[in-house]
Amino acid sequence: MNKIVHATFKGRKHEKDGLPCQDKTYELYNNGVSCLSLSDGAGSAKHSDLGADISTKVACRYMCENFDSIISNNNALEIKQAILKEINDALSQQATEADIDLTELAATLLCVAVKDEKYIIFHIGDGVIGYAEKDVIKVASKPINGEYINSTVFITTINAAEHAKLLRGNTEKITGFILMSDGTAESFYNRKKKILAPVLVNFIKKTALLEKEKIQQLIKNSFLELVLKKTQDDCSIGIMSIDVE
Amino acid sequence: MMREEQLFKLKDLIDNPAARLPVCLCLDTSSSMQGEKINELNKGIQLFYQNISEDEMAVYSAEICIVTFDSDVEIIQDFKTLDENNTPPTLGASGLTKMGEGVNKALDLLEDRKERYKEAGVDYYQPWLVLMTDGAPNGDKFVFKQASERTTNLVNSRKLTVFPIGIGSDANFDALKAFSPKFSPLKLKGLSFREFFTWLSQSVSNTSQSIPGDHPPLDKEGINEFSWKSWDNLDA
Repeated sequence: MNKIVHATFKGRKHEKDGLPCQDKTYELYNNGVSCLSLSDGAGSAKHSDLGADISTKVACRYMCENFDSIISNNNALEIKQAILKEINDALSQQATEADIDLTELAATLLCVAVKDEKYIIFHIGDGVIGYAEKDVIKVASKPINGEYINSTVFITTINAAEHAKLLRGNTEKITGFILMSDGTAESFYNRKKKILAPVLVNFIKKTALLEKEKIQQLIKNSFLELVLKKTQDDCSIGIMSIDVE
Repeated sequence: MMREEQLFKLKDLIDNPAARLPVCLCLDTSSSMQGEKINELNKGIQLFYQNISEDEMAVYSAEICIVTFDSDVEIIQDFKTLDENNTPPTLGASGLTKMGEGVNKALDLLEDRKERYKEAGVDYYQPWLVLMTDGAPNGDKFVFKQASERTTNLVNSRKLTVFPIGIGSDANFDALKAFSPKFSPLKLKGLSFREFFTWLSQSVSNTSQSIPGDHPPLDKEGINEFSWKSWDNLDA
């Protein structure tokens, strides 16, 4: 079975302001699908931590339930719209129940689902999705931003499907996937060269080799000591190592 | 104490440059600004530089450009962080008021700076243009129209925030309004340049500390310290 680890860390700004961490991660194994998702709530949206939480869970559930049909559907826009509708419906329901505006739940979404030897990647907003082929880490999906650093695209953005990315392929040569929020990407994604730090390959290798608790502890130690000091933002990461049987 | 085991070392991490906030001060230095006005403006700019230099994030993030307009347009300083240059200029005043020409130059510099950011992979915030004048434009009318249309288009497409400030009773607010489709120009209370630049430096500081996706609100209450008016729908 594919192995998944993930973690979120509150950034210095939210610590200082007494606000919750707005990054969320989630994993789900169902119907033979391994699914990992990560979401970063919009900084200015009051309840975006809740939006991120809902988005990660709904995305994974949808991927697990509809993996085969997504793989066989050639209409990418239709798929993206369906995924976003599913998430936005859940967000809208939450907004109604809490008597808040939908925009207060705005969040990005990064998601990877794997079944047999096929994968699906869905990405909207900033953050980066990488994958490893043997000992090389590559970018699967770059940050999807507006022109300015404070103009990210979110799940709740009008016409979000036009800005979303959907990728499908074969995991034959792939050893793993990494999802990271933009806070984490500050440390591992070279914005100028648009490449990922080579050390990320080790993350995937260690995820495959070590006990889950051990790799989680390593991630925690390293992020608290190093990554969180390079940004004010929340930081989150998700790693899926592909089981080669 | 034994160091906790790490997944990676500091040297394994990428060093990305800080996100930049480009701020262009486009200032009237015509002859009517002579005397106390230009003195107070200079003091305001010094205070602006001082405040930003003392902010550990803004000093690396805010890039300041100063363009003056009188009978000519002069680039007093192209975009630089205060880490690179923290010496404020001392401006003089004489000549006409070629406002359109000044704004066009400011916009050219802003566009050029954004291209450089893109080439270097540097993230940046929506740029700010501060336009201050105590009179009416008397440069080329066609150039003025071109500059106001460029500015209006940028503001309306959310590519620029403009802070239009009129100084004194002779400032032409209709002319300033031509550069600010979203909200009315502010009238400076007397010569409260220092109060304005204190507010501006605090706004820069707040934006520099914001995280991606964040829209830190500008201090609407603080505007009362330096202006007779207010911006109800102020949004940067």
